Amino acid sequence: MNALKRAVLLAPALALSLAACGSSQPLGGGAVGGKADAARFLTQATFGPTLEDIDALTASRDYSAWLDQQRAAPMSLELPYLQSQNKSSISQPDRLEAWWRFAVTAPDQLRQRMAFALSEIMVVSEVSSLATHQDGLAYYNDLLIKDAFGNFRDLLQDVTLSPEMGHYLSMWHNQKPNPDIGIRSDENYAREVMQLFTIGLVQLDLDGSPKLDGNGNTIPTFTQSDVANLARVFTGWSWGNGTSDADFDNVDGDWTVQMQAYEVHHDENAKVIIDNTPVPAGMQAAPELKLALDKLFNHPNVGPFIGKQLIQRLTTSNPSPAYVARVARVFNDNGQGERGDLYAVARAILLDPEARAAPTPGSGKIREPLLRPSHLWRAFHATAPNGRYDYLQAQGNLAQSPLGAPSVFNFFRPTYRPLGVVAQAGLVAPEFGISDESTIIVASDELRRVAMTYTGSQGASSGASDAILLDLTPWEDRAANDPEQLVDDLGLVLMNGAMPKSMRQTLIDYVQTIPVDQTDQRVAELIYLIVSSPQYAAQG
Amino acid sequence: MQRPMNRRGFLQLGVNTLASSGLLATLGTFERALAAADTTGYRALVCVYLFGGNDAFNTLIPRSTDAYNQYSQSRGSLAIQRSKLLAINPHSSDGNQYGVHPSCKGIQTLFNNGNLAFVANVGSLVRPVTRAQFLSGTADLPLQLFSHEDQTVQWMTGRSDSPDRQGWAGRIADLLATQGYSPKLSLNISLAGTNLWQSAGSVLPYNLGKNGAATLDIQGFPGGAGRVDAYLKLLQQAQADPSLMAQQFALTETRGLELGKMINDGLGSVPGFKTKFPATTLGGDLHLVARMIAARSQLGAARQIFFVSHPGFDTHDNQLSQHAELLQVLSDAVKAFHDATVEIGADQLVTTFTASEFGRTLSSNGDGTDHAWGSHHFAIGGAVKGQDIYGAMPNLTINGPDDVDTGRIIPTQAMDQYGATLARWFGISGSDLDLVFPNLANFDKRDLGFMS
Repeated sequence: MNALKRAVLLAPALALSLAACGSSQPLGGGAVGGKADAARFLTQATFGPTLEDIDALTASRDYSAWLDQQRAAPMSLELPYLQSQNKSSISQPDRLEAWWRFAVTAPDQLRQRMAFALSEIMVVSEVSSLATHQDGLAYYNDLLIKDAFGNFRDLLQDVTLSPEMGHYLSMWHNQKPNPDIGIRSDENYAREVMQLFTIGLVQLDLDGSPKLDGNGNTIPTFTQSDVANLARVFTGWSWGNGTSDADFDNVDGDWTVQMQAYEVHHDENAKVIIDNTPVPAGMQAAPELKLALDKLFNHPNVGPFIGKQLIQRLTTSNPSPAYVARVARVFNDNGQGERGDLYAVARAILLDPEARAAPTPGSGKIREPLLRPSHLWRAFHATAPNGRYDYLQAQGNLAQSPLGAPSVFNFFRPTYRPLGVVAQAGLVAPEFGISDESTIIVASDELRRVAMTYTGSQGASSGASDAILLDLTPWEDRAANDPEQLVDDLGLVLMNGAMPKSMRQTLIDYVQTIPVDQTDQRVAELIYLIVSSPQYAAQG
Repeated sequence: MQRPMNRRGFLQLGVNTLASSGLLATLGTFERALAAADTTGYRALVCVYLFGGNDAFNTLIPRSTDAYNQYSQSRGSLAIQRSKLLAINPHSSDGNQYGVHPSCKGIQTLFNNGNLAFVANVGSLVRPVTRAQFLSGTADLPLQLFSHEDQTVQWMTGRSDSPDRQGWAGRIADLLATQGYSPKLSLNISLAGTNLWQSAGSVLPYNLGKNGAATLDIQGFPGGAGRVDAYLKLLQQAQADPSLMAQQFALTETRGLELGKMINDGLGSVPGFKTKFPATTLGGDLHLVARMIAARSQLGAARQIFFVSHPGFDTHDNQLSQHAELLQVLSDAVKAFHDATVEIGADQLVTTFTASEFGRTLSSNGDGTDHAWGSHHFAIGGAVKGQDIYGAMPNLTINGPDDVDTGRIIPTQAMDQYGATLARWFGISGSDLDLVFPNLANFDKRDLGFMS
């Protein structure tokens, strides 16, 4: 038997024995409130911690105050930034540059991170006809940014009426039925707004567990008839800024304003939507849409359904039912009687005892691929000679790109369970949907290029004006004089102080084989080995 | 390690327990010897998954006057012009003539040459359903009909009645492993990333890159050797990391590195094809599959299952032009792929087939269609009893005898039967088919007859 096979076969037993230790067994990661926890909190809440941020948060010991500062921080919006460049049109590289710029430098980090999470739930993608409407994609991302700390009901309406979602799930131009020529209303948005954006397919308890009927079966949230009726609710919407009925039929329009109702195309007949909710005849498009979205928004599933997915995007793939219930309760009432307060939800997710407890074998998640370069560029204050963050390699080499999912089902599903030790422990790990035998290796090579592109490096790309250069100079003293301290400091900023001892020793041994005068190389090598390692990929 | 396991044990063992040999011992009372896996010769199944739900009622279309008029009436502005249909000539007749979409020249040629069979009106089913049962609410239906995600899961698992997360290609691999066939490179190879179909209880699928296996380029630094050693040492240490996520990541990467070298060595050792593949993603993927098949001896493979995806079939709008492009890509690619298997003398050993979560509504939503149910599929290869349509073609009248609602056609053949027919050819026999397709017993025909 070869070594690989033996390792594969032995691993499950190891996993099971670890799991048997109990989930309360701490595995390092430092005391809550210490530097390690501050780093972990910032890993969960931003596009990557920096030593300065870790020190500041550790000194203040006040995560709550940090959250409130984040709420108050001015919004960084893509469209105004892109428009300020006065280009004739907004290209895909321009839009991606704006996204990376904000990921790396925006002061409103938590807001941006929430918007990223929401973009993976209420998915629109440039892998579609939207590819040629990058201004629209920036507008869409901006609405997620604006609503990230607002109310979920407003978010739902803004998403629904955006021309981007209108095109992506074909509510734009959706018309009342025309039985004479056998035309029904388009069911695409009606189905997915329920299935993916609000309530999901089966009725849930507050803690996210499916409710069961007397026979032990799950209970559907809606029927095909509900879909067909809701499809008729969503009729009559097309370009905003229209001045006549004829504008409904325009093939192009303004991708940066909400759609508007064209009553002549709206179905005013009575309907019955989810939970036998009557929609009386004669209603106009906008009030009818409001009625339907209110109904969905107030469904008891929304808190656990959306709350659990936000937890998965920020802190852990496998929240306990109690954690989901605590977050859902905050979604249902922020303490001041408001339902759907997303800022309160973000706070609840990040301050939850389960998010702050020390890591366990099954806790945490795989870092999303996009969060790895952003982390490096933040931690090492990277800049390019041209002052931009031009980075186009994510889709090809990291299997992920901002607003670039392959379908409305995102890059991966929240229930994905890769075969192996994760499945054997009864866990899910959504990010493994894009971390397989091939993509892991391609991403590892990409992270080497990112890590090895630093001020003064010899790499082929580092002389280019758009090369995003890590600044390693603050680390070079330690590289020469105290390699152990260097490894520990890198372990703090990159791995939340949770670097296993065996890994630490491997790195210390290796770094000392590099000549002591090559301090920049010493630092860069360590960074590369850390960020390409499985130990780093797993965020405890 | 690969101990024989009894059938009952195979049925009961799930993800959590297969690794535990202790459990096997407790099943001793039921143990009886199994035949060794039949892996003589070489066979490959190639699934081309049409993500989004192919409108197969606009792929295979009646040409006879009455049947065409009925079709045209139901499809309205989405109907394909009769004069543009490409005629196919089935050996047996149900009284109507048929043609394929004008983009399907390759499919037409394969059919008329006897290398392609259509399988009519297939879908996810728990057991046969009548219109009356459906309308009265008494039918035993698949969970969450008309949902992409759920019908995809059901096509991949063969469990329309259960949220089971084990794919049937994965179950085939697990079964063959219990019977002693466990090649170093997984039986299940995906060119479309992770998928449920190839993942069941124990045998790990392998995900191939678009240009072959991914390789790590880590020796760019003058201190080269030390870097490689450190990288691999971290990888090894991570296999025992406290975090299960880190372990999983490390094991996946390790597998990728080790198998990747073997694969690229194998691919490098076989000559190129004379057959020209179209310059599309699907054409490129099937080209790589053909190369993997050509390298089967070097890869030590006696059985292989490939997963390839062709996305974009969720044609809610702009269907006429979108669907024509999608079918063109599909038809050209599968034709080239079949020709390539002929070129290397493997056409009898390779069967390509389509899968897709559902068909689409016959009725239009203006310029597109919505999610429906039954749909036609096809299988290609030298072992396919081609130039025929297997199963009854449905009545395409809206609100007609086969419609549940606005042109959502009830399938008359279950994907379980379709899959079992392919699996039987692949080497899964007798009651083992019931282990792979637990609901097969709910249908009268265990084999739809399109494989030799």
